[in-house]
Amino acid sequence: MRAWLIAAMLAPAAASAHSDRALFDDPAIVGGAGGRYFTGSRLDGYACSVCHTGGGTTDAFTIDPLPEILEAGRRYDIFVRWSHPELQHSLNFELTLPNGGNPMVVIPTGSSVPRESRCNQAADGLPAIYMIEAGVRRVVGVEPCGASMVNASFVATGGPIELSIGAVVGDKSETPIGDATFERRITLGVRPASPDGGCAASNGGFGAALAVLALLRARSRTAR
Amino acid sequence: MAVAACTEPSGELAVPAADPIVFRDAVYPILLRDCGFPACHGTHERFFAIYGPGRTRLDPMTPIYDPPTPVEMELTYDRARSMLLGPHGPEDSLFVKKPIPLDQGGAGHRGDDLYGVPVFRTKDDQRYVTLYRWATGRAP
Repeated sequence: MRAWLIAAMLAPAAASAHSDRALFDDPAIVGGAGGRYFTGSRLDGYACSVCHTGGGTTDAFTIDPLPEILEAGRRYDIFVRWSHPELQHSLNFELTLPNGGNPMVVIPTGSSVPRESRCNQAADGLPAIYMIEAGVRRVVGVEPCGASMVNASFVATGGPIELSIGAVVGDKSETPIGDATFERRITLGVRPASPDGGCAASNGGFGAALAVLALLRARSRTAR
Repeated sequence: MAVAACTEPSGELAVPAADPIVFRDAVYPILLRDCGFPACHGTHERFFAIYGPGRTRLDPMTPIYDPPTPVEMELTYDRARSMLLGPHGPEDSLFVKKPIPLDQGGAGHRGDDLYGVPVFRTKDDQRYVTLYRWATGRAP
C-alpha cells in the first residue's frame, strides 16, 4: 500500500481542462469549478493559470480598442480576436460594475452570430460563443472549435467597468499541462451622459450658437 | 501518528482527529473548489496536497471525473488534519490562518489571487466558516 502510494505520487499528474462550459457551474465534488469562471475578475480571484501551467503566456489574443472614457447610457461593442484559430482557444470574459453586477452584457444569437464566432468559421457552423448567467454575473465564453473572434455589447453605466479576460491556447494534450495562458484586466472609465442625450454633433452646434450669441451681445454692449 | 513540530523538537504532537465525515461532506468540496488547482495545492509537490475529480488524480490512470477514490480522500484528509497543528491548537494552525488576509489574522499565503486575497476576503465567508468549524469545533 505504502509503496503504491509513493509510486503514485511520483507519477505524472492528470487534471482537467475546463473547456466544457457546464463544468464551470458543476460542483467541485463532481469535478466542476463550483461557480468559478477563471476570468480573473474580482468575483473570481483566479484566472486560467491556476490550472493551465507550463506553457507560459501568450499574446495571441487582441482586444479592439475601446474609448478610454465611455459615455454613460451608450451601448458599446467589445471584440476579442485571436490568430491561428486551428489551435485550441478557450476564453472567458466578463464586465464587472463596482457593485458586482454586469453592465447589461449581451452577445449575438441565432443568425446574427458572425461567421468568425462560429465553429470552424463556417457560415452554417454552430455558434462557438456562449454566455453564462450566474447570479448578477454574465460571463461570455467561447468553445475551442475553430472560431477566431468573440464579441459582446454592453451599456456604460454605474461607474467604472472592469473588463477581465482569461484565455487559454491548448496544446492538444488533453491536460492543462503545457497550455499557454492569457490574462488581461482593463478598467473603463464612465463619464455622465451629455445633457441633450449624447449627440455630439448637435451639442457642438448648440454650444457654438450660444457662443456666437454671447459674442454678439458683448459687442453690442461695447458699441454703446 | 506522530509529527515533529519545529517549535517543540523534543516532544511529540498528536495530530487532531477532526471529524472525517464532516471533512468528506463539507470540507473536502471546498478544498477542491478553492485550493486544489494544479498550480496551487493540486500537486504532488506540496505537502498540503488535494486530490480529486476534475483536479489532480493521485493515480494518473483514474479517469479525471471519477468520484474521489478512498485513498485520495484519506490522503487529503490526513494532509489537511496535519495542517491543524498549531502552537496553541487548531486556532493557531496554518490551516485556519493561511487562507485569510494578514489584517484579519492571516499567516501570509503565496497563493494570493490577482487582487491580493489569500483565498477568502473575510473570516465571515461561509466557506471559511465551514473550514474553521471543522478545524476548531467553533465559529471564527
